[in-house]
Amino acid sequence: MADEKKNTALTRREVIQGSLLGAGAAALTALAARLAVASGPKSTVWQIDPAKCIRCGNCATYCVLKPSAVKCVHAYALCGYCKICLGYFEQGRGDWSARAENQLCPYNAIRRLYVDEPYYEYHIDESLCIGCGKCVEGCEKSGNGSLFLQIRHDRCVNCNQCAIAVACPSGAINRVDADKPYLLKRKDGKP
Amino acid sequence: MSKTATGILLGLVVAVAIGVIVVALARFDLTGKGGNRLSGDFNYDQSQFEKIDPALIGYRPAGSFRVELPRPSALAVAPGGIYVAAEKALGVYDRDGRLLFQQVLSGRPTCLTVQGQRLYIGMADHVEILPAGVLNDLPAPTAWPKLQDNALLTSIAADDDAVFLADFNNRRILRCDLEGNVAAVIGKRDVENGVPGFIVPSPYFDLALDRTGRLLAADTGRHRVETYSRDGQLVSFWGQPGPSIEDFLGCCNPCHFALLKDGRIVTSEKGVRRVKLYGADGRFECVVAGPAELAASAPRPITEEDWPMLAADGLDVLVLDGQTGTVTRFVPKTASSASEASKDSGH
Repeated sequence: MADEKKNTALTRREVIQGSLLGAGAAALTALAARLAVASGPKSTVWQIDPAKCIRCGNCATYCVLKPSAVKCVHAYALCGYCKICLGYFEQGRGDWSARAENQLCPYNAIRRLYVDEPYYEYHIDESLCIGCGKCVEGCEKSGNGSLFLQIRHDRCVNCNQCAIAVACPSGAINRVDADKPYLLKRKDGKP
Repeated sequence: MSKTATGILLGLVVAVAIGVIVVALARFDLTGKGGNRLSGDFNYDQSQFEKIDPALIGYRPAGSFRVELPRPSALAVAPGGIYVAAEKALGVYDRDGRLLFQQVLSGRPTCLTVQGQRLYIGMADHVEILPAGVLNDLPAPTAWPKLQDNALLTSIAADDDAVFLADFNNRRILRCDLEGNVAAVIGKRDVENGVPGFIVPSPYFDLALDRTGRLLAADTGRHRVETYSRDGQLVSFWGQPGPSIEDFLGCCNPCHFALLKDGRIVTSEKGVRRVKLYGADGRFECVVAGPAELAASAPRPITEEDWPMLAADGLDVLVLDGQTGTVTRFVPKTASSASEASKDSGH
């Protein structure tokens, strides 16, 4: 009986060895779990590449949401603050006052603020914008291209297959890393 | 129910289901090929400005060639050839488009001009100089010091006494001596001294020297071409925004211009792709080329290379389409000898 007791009792060495092995196993498990998470599929969302967008208008009508999750956004660093902004004005009206009939956007979703003669700042009212890209076309053609379209992720439901991506004639809509969900235009042209 | 009746019923159900699927696929455009289905109010339509009365077109295309250079960015003509700058490259071509010489450059020029034996190359924030007319064994370019204040050069003009540089980022023109020292700043906004400043919303800020040595600059936000004395005094201007053919469309035009040898001015615009000719006093004379002659073959993303770059060769007009790398020569319709005259003058 006394011998059995002696045989089952743990020595100090065995306790330390067991503890170290246990800690090592736990660390290895944690490392494996971390690696598994890191190498797993990344979360992605749909986004429009402004460099490929040809402003066809499909974004306004093919999105499953009404109104579309695509909105016009404005890169202020690129903007020329034009007095005659062809993203804002209907060209050829004869005068450049901000009357409704002179405005290009069918929903009057662009707000114009006076800065300093002859400069004006333009803002998008996203509650009105349907993402048709009409203003983007005017800005691209006549201005600096500071207006462009993006899928807004506060609205987008991130469909498994984006309906606009299928309907996009220029292949401008693709999945991007959810950590960088917007493809913004920059003054230096870098992504 | 008999087995036969069950089979017929099942067949009908399957047929109806197939029919529904076919109708659904036919009815719903899932690929976008049916267009955006938006009303006409949502179309950006500038077709009314792209129609040009054929009677107003005073030039005709007389040959073109493609430059096999990446992202062409500037065009100049000199007795030695047609110079095209591009990404890290300079190509020199004869009037038939044969490549005479190609030189590696350190970057993508934003402008260039040839004056005498010097080829001035604007490289965004500094100027590099190569010997003009030398078509082999070129030395490394001589570089002037970088300009301060985040300068972005968009045009360069020179004569025997001075070099003028258009700096878009600072909305100013610099007059330099032939060693690159800045001698004067022209047109920079200075309210206290009554200088209103250039309004240049987008990076198209062109300039040229006329036959008398006066400076012409495109004040694009005001839609006009301004003439300055060499010391920077505004002498005159012409041009206005508007939908008429003699006016300038868009936010900020003309984006490029060049002077013919007789002093007349040829302009190109962004927005509506067109090239027009004005007298030296700014009176509209004719259209050199309209959207039909300069149009892109398919919808495409617009880039800074999209708008026609210009150079004058005698009375001929050379247009560089930066997207396709095509240089097209336009000659006057009426004066058949004009192109020959430019041949006599060295080409």
